[in-house]
Amino acid sequence: MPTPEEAKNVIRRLFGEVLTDNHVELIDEMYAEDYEFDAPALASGSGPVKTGREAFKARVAAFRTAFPDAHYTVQDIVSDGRIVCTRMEFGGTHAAPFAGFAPTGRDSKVTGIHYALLNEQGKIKKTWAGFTNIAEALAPNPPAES
Amino acid sequence: MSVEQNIATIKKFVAVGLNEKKIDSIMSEICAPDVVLEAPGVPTAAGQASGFAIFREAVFGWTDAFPDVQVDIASLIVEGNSGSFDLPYSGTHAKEFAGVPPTNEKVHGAELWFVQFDDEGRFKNVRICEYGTPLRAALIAAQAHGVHP
Repeated sequence: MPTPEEAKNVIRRLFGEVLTDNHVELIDEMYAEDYEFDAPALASGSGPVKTGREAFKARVAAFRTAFPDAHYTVQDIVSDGRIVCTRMEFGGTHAAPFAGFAPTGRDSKVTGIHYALLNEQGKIKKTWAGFTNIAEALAPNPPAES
Repeated sequence: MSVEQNIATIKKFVAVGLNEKKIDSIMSEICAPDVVLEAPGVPTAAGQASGFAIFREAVFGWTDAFPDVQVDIASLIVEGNSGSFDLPYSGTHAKEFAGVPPTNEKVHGAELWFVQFDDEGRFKNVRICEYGTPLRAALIAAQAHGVHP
């Protein structure tokens, strides 16, 4: 099993190299073959649970289409070596429809929490995650800042 | 505070604040007065607001609408002054919640919490995210099926 620091580095690499720098080819290296994820639906009618690397690549591509300049920040991270919990922020220009929200053209910031379960080899076996403020951030007329 | 003390604070919050619905009895012990809450439904663009009252209202509003709600801690990891836990729950929707009238349905859901502690071991920053089917969507679905006109 990876050490907590090794496990955290896997997830830092996910948010940096894979999701921000868009090196989706690394998914085959970093994710287990039986990878499963549970994440908010990106469109009405699609269920929240998906399996497999290819399904995840499609999800990453959908994000990238909606937010061409997508970038992620790891704000805080804890791990026991098996599970990695990440307090993260996602930002980018909302350029195409996403999760039922019409494009706003705004530079949007969405915060969230991401959980990853690693296998004995340090590969990502399962992830589950949620956003905090996606409805507010992507609304046509967003609420005030505070 | 030590990791063990921060773990104990989280467990106390879940046991007393959520399962026993006695958040008022432990607010000053577990929560900094200027606590920042980030959660779905907080009506700001960043989804965050600060202060004792907003945190209490978020907890009380939930446990009041689901008076038999019971939560578990599926996983809990604390390092230093940061901790995170996975919180599956079930409860009966007995009062209006998030604009949805009571359905009297037993609902199941889950939240991820990420907490940062101050030097006195109190919640300083609290972020909450739902995963799976969001609670409000589940309640609306129950209504939409015509079970609860």
